[in-house]
Amino acid sequence: MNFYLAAVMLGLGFVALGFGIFISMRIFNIPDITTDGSYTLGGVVSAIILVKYNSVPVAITASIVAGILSGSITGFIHTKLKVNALLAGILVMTALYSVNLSLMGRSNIPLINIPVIYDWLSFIGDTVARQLSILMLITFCLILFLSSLLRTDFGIAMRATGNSEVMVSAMGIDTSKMKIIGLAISNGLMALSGSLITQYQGFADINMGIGIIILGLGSVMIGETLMSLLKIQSISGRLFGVIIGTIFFRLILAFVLSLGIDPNLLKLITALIVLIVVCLPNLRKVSN
Amino acid sequence: MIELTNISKTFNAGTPQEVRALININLNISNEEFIVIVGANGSGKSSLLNAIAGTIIPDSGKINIEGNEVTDWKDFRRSKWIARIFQDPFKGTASELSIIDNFRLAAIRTKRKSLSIGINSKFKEMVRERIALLGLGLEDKLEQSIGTLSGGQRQALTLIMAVMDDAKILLLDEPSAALDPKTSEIIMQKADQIIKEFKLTSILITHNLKDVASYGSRVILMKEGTIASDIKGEERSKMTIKDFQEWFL
Repeated sequence: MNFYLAAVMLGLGFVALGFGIFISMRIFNIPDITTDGSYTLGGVVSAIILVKYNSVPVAITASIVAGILSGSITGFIHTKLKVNALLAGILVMTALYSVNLSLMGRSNIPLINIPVIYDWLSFIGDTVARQLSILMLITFCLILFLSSLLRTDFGIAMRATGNSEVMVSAMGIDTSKMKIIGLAISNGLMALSGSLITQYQGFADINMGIGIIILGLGSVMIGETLMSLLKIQSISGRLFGVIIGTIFFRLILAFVLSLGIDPNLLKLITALIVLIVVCLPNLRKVSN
Repeated sequence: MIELTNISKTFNAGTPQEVRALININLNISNEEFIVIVGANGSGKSSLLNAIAGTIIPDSGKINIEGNEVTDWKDFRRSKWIARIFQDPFKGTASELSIIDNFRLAAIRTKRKSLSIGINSKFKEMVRERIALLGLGLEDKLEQSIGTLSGGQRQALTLIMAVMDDAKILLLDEPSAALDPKTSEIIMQKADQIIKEFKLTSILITHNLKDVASYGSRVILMKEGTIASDIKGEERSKMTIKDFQEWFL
């Protein structure tokens, strides 16, 4: 059972990543793949600060800021230098690999005997219960923040930007600025996720971000499929779907691993699951 | 109100696909004037409208709106005066957003999009009342995504959206071209009514000569990037649909 509980917790750690992908891919309709880099950046920055300064709030804040920065750079390259969004993301992601490596000075940083965010709420004696409470608290704050943001006038403008750019410009909105802000928020969330996972697993690694975008995308799509089955369209409902999707995805992976499949095949299985989730609605249409 | 001085725009300059869309256009549009622009495809009608809207920036010349030189201003900055209706009903609205979200954006077209929640019960009531005037029964579907509506319904809504916030200028690019004849007529009448009620300075592009004869105080014929005829006042009011038909013979 603890095995699946760990999967749920890992899932909660990835919720911020799922929200980030939801914002870039769904709200803004931009296939941003800076993710692999900004997620790792978040982990790397947190690990360095935790080791050097021992401050969890500073580590998390710095990670988010670093993510925001990398997202803004992708946004700038895409909107101002007019580079295709996919390419802009690949460029920044590739550049971030070197950045992460030089920041760390080696390929990984362990967090041994260093207080992390999961040591907060020390009045909860049980480690697992404490970790779970903290992750749930963060998830709750995130959904509250995002569902409020997306319902404000600014949030409506964000949502419209990915939907009808012509209309949005006619409504007095600078779409370039909007997209840069969107990618900044999105990558800030991804970096937050990188920080949370790094603190959870106790180390930052240069390769921790490989293929992470597929994980996030799969989670978002599983959540969407579920919510569309339940006919839920509201913004908070869709965000909640991302949470469910992320946890569900980790549970599927945990189940597959429990069948005794070689962990080296994990990425292949992840890709296959996402492929199935992506194709399922299309296959259903064909058979109809 | 709007002054265009020596406006020229060439697309794909220096290539075999070079198109001289606008050639030395001079045009003065006064307050509350309702201009109808006609012309063959490729005559520069849309380029002229887009130059005023700011979606294309001219190669040379000057554009003034209400005494401000706006030549280099992008469309989103000019939106403080200009509301637009597009030929494609899908362009004027954000499909996946609800009717009420679309109206909220329209209501703050000239304002800052702030981090406060603007859709409250008072706002909803105001939108409901305005939509009810259309008589399409859409006032009870505020939460429905606007993409589920027909082209005609969406175009009707964009007309009301245009005047949700202060507007001085209304640009209509073949607003009814994608609609069936009956809906098209309703949309044109509604547009005319709104233009008069809100005293808007308007420019309409159309291929429908019946509309040319029925609406507007001034008519402009465009040919190969230039203004071939510009008729207003008494001369315009004397013209009939036959006269306009002759332009295209």
